[in-house]
Amino acid sequence: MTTETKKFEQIREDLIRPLHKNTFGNQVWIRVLIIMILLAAFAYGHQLMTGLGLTAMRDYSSWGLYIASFVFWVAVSLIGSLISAVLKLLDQKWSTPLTRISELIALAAIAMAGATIVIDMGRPDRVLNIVLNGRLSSPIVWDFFVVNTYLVISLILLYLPLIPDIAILRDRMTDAPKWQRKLYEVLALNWQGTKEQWALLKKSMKIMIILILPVAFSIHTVTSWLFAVNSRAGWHSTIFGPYFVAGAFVAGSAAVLIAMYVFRTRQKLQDYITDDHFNKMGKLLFLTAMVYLYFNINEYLVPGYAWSRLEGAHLHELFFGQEAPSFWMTQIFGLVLPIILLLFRPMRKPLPVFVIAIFVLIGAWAKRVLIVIPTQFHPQFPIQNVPESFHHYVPTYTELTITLGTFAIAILIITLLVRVFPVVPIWEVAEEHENHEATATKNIK
Amino acid sequence: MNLIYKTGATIFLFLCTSFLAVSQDFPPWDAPESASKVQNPVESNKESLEAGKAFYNAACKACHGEKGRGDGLIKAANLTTEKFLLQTDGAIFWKMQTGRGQMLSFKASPPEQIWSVINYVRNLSAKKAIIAKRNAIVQLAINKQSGSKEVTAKILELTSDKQQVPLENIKVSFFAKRYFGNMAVAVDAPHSTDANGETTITFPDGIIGDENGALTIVASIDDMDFNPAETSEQVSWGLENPKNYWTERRSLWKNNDYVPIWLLITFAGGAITVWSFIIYVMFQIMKIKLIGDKLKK
Repeated sequence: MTTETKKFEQIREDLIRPLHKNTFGNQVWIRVLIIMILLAAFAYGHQLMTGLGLTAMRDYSSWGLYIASFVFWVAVSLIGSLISAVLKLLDQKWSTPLTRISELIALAAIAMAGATIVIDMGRPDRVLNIVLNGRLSSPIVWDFFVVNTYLVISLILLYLPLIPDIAILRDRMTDAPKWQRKLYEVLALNWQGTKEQWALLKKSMKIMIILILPVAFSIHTVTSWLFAVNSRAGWHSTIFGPYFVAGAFVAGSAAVLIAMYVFRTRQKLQDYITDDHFNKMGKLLFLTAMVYLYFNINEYLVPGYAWSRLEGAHLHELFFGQEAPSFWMTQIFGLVLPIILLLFRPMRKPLPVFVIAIFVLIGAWAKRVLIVIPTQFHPQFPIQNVPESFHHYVPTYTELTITLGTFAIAILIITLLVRVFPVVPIWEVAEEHENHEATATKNIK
Repeated sequence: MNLIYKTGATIFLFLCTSFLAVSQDFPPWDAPESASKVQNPVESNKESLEAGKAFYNAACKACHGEKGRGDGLIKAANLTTEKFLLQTDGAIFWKMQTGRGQMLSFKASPPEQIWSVINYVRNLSAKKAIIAKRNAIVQLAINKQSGSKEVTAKILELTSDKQQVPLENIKVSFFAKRYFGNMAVAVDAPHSTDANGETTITFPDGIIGDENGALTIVASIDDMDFNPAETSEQVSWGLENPKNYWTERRSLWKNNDYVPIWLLITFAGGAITVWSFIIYVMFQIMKIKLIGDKLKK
């Protein structure tokens, strides 16, 4: 939080101002994203017509880039619960300006998690079968349920604190295009800011930030169970749930740091997303990365010490074999080096921490690939008498294009939403400033 | 729709071709003249027929079928047709030793066994009137005295004048009844009836029964001269079968009708709790709107 406090009117104008400007850069950016999405749509159409044979997935590696990306998206989406719920419940007031960024990321990520699963299906028209004929004993059914529940909760948790802000926009953005004014009109729900409305809103928000916690934990725990319930080397681990949840907070914190930096510079929000926010988020990233490192040591040291037959073959592949370069690069550049660097205060300044966060996020994605794919080449029975292409997995251009397309969609969702809604919550920040001022005056008196 | 037509047409074509393939006869296969002239050195008697039957059941039955009609697991020659039976024993012997396609070569088997199985195969299609079988019954006597576990089977012939006459020297097989089929027990030696028509075995320990340890013992005869006969009786000599998760009504690997109760409660409980809160909050949002609407008016 800034040391100087601001009046409500000033905060309001500061945060609305970026919505008036549709910069050239922004327009180019949106077009680039749309071109990427169109390419991906073309590739997906091709995949739909030809079948999953277009991907590099075969009998042994039947899960590939799509499932790895799915796990990544679920991981990133968890940040919504960490910043809006955990920090709020712990009364960490400094995180207020970051709540909307985290909720936007959560919403875009969980939507893409669902989409990626459908992309991975050879017959997406059968997706409803999981509702109609799914077996309740199957973790896939549980996952389908929690992912959709989390999507709804994320949407509500993004929308609730937006209502008073939308009402402000409805009253202030009179020069906006007609569709935009109509959108504010509808979404503002005739918000008048009466005592009753505030009471209802605050109560609903309280329910949601508590409710999101168990759902967030179960969504990523169940995703880890998709792997852990299989008796496979590298997956069949009792700590897979917490290991995934810890990793999710690392990926999400990195994503929020990147988004913070981008919005701060593009929308000139230095007074609201301050250096101190980067410092504190850097510390949070350090904390989550430390927890994740602890789980990593458990996850690799314990089976590495026992070195049982298949587990040994799997770990040999990761530590010294074909996957070793990517494994060690991921662990060092995506986890160990960031942890060391974040210890130093200058590294938690906006630009350095932004660069570190990019490395962490790429590392988080690569880590999911390393969790999903190598295990599948160490089945219980040796791989024999199969075509050469079954022995390894290298994603095809189709898979890469479609995966990049999902990234473009996620970024486009966020880009479009911050075009119409303020990226920093207006009334919540104003409330903070008022409280701060009140305590300040009280202290002087 | 197009897909349905294509699939339908494919299935139809497949059925047509397989029907043609089935109805088509085997191409002719003739043994050389010299081989056809070889005489069968093994006499077709009870002993040879029994040896032939054992061999047939082990090596031939899977394809040629129980009664030699060629109705086994894969398509094989019918051994009861006139065409087959008109061959000499020597020709069949040569074919069995040579083999063709899926018909294996039995060169490695002792020649006496091959000759015996030829006798048996000829017997399969022999007219019933010629070898009218006699009827027999099996009676089981269980020695219930503690610890002995003795089972005695008595074989009696039912003569035409309704008399029951003990049969000597008849082979009896003993089984324990299982979920699928019977498990042979006391197979260490053949058990043939004595002059009283009786043979006794000691039932083995350690066989699992039902929850109460109940087992069903089966005794049967399979003799060339008699129609098959068997009888069974329940004893309590089995080990108690502990309630087994694999056979329980509800378990994790069954379909939705047999979901474990704990899973049902956990899942439904979680889903109902979370969604009732979500729906409650949605109502609150609606309330916010209603208040706003009222104020606007």
